[in-house]
Amino acid sequence: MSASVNGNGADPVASRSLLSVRDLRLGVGGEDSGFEPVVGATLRADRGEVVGVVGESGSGKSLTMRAIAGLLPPGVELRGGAIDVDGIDVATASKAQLRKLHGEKVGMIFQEPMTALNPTMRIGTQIAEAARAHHDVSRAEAKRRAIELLGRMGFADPENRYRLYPHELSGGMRQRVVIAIALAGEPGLLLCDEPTTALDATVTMRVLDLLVGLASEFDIGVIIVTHDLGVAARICDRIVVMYAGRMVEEGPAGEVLRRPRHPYTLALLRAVPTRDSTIQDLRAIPGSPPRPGDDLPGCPFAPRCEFAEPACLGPVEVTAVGDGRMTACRRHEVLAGMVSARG
Amino acid sequence: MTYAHFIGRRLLHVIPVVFGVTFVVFWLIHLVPGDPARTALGFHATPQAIAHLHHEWGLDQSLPAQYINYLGRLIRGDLGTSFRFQDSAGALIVERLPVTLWLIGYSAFLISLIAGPLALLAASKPGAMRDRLVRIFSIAGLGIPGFWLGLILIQYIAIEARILPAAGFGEGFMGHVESMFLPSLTIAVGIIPLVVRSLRAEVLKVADSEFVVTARAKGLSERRIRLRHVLRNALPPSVTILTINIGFLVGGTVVIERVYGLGGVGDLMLTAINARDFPIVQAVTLFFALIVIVINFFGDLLQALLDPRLETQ
Repeated sequence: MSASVNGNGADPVASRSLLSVRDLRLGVGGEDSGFEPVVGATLRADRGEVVGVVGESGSGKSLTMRAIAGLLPPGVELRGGAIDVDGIDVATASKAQLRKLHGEKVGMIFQEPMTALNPTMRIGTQIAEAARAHHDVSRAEAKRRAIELLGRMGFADPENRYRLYPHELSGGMRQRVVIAIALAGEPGLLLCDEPTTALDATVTMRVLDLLVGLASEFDIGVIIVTHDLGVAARICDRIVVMYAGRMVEEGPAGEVLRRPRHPYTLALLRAVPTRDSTIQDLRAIPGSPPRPGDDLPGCPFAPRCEFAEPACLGPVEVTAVGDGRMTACRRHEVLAGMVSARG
Repeated sequence: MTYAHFIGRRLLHVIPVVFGVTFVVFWLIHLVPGDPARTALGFHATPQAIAHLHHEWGLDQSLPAQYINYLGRLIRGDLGTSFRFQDSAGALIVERLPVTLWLIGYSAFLISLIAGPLALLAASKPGAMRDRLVRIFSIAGLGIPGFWLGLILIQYIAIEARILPAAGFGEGFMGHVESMFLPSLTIAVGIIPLVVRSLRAEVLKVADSEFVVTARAKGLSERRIRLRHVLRNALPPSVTILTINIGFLVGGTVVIERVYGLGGVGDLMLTAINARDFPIVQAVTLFFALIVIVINFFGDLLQALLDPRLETQ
């Protein structure tokens, strides 16, 4: 195995930092009775960087994105930690700051392009109104920008497509309209919540390539939430693995996927079919993820972990393990030894 | 499919409906006991005089023959001649038409004007005091009988406070606006709660949609989100509720016209039923059915304008 992969953005310049999330805690219900779907999510993103957030459903990925965008669903509250998006502290942001956050700092792309678009509004108008929300431009100028964005998104004949309604488009085209809307406010950060889950495999690749292209072309940070490691491997510079509302591992994409430093990441990798794998090679992760509200004093993955030892039920600390990598596993050295021995 | 196709297809639907209405009305009215000749000539009329009148009005023919005659005249545009007024039913209706159309249009206008803001107010904070107040007023509005509300409004607003006229159609446009306000409001009060309830529920449902999150993520103002994204998508079901209920409202005008002494088409209907004036009853029923059809037709057109997905179905 090669010595070290030169991960992109391994040594980020401080001024290129766009997003920093530290120890984010989100709660549902009252402080006493409720539970916390996110406990200690930590995340950062720089300009021009594509960050993948990976984990099972219910690991708190989507809620973390909604918290960053200042769009938490009703009933979910910020209980701790800090979110800083390009100088805006989301927890304490004023109404004016929030409107700046929405669209101008952060563009949001949703999982279901079917429901993310207003069914009674022309797609062009939906893009143009996003442009007008942040830039003092005339209707005609906003329309011109919307048409330009449609063109960039790969629509042939954007002038006429401008007048279509969402139901007249295919899933992939709709998702590209959603991307155009997210870009219309010219944000520095693009949050994509499972952007390709609802799409065909062939369309998926085109949409992903589009997103990666945008990151370098506009020098914006892109965060892609996905449960698909293949997607993450293909396009991400850096990967953050989440489990049970916590960040369990982080590092350059190639490193994390080749030499995981957390048993959960390893388990995820083993569950992905490859061209050479037979059905026997695939391993489902034993047990099931903790239910929301479960009391988890130690490592949340310990009950399902083949490397677990009694100490794993004690407090967990996130440690740096070199090459800009972090892990929440106390037995990462054992894991590293095993992975490289097999590698 | 284009919008013109859509309209054309809807128009074709009208024909069987009109035919069905004539059929039902003709047979129903002949099931009602009572003889128009006896009513017209009085209790002491001779059998010869009654037979003469029956012959003159075509009532001595068999019912199927009468029905076919009626359809034949209808196709030529003849709605029949009133037994009582000796005038064509068409002319009698046209004469009273403005009052009834004003009543329907004005009520629909008041319903939209009052129900929309009330629903938005209630939905802006579900469960809050404003929501509960709107609900209480809605239940009250549903429970109050129209004729009683009409009498109360006449007594307190028209007679004691002298703010608005107590009866009549008024003179000129502003006169109509003034005179028809109370009758229209009376009708509106019965329908507003239905529209408020449906619109409130729909606004809350749409507000939960993902595209509203998209709208918020764009950084739009709350006002634009509520009006352009939420309300716009919540309207179609309420338009349906409104058009269906304006249909009922057409029946409601019969009583309200009497209470306010308006002498509209509904009033003509009441007089005709009492006199067993078959041609008028048939003509007015057909006319009311046509109004309901036309209103539903416009409702559908409005739906298709509000929701571009309907046009293609």
